[in-house]
Amino acid sequence: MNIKELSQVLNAKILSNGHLSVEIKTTYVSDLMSDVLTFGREAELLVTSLTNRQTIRTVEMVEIPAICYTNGKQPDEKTIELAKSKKITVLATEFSTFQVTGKLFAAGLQG
Amino acid sequence: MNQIRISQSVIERIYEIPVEKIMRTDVVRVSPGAMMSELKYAVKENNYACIPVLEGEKLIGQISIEGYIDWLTSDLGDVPVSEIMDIKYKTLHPDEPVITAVKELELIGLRGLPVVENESEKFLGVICRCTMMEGVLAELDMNDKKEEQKDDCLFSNIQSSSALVTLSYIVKQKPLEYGGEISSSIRADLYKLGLPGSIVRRTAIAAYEAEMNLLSYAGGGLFTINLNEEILDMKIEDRGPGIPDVEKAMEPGYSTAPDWVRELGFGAGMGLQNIKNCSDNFKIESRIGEGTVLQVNINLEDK
Repeated sequence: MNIKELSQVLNAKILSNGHLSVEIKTTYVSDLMSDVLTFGREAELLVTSLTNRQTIRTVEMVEIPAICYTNGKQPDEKTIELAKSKKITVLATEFSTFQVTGKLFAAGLQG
Repeated sequence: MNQIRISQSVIERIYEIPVEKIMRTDVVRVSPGAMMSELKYAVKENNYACIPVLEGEKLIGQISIEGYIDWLTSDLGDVPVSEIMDIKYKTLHPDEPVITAVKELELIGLRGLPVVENESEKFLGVICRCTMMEGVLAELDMNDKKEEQKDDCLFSNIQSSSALVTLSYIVKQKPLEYGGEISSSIRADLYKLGLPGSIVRRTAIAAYEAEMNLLSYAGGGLFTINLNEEILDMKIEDRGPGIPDVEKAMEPGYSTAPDWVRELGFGAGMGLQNIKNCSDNFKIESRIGEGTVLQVNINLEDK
């Protein structure tokens, strides 16, 4: 699934264009950044409802190219700027984390 | 054994960078009449490299760290700098390539060399071992971003096999939400040096966990990364309160983190364990009231 398709499935706004060509196969869902750092290393997408700068730093270190914020939450401008400077794709959706997970699973993504 | 590889273009650029682009110009200088006892500050400020002795703008001598230590351990007492300074020493010219500086430092085993203007001997700055790498990386950064090539040429081309590349980073105390800035630089620098992605990623993750710890508990700290062909050795030191029970702190899930740490998605008691998991060799030493030292070794050979 590419970023365009992802944003359609989740009815999500794209707040930062990273590498738009990235292909999402595996997703990791967590609000605990320590867990993302430990277990999320194979993912191309992080789904979280935490919106601080550390979410961007975390995906930067783990090299997850895209992040999707849930529950209608959006990070502040500075966080989006940071994501842009690191070429990380940022999406935001009104759906809950549970709904997002379900939709992505139904669309065939792996955990 | 797999050797580290670094981009050919990076090496060519390192060869070409003139000394003046990466020398330190903000070093402390002294006059020949200054007293040796006044040099304490200068020694530290100049990264323990060398202290230029100037008459006007002209370099007339230098105090090397070795010379300073000799004086300290001698029974000469407090004497003017002019009596101790070296007057025969190698200098660099601003237009010489960095690789010359590397070779000279390696050859004479000194920590720093003064840079002077070609004819006039006017003092311009100092090249010192410990900030040279920073300077090179900053300079590469400026001409960079055009290309991202890897795996072209041997790392050992820029330094002799015994020499290390040393990178150091200071983590200053600041709000935790800004944590990760240093790890981000470490990550970028290691990629710039052409290390493979798997190594960089493990280093970056360990560094990031450690950086968050430094900011959460220790009021900042220091990263030192030593690299040779075989191993990446990252040391993380702080002068924080120390960890009362290291064994307990290593247990997954054990945490003393306050809420403000947890709110940022950390403090779940996974940090140290995760740092260990990223390492091939991991050591932790902590003393109450003195601080904590982590040692993270990552083998550079492919497994």
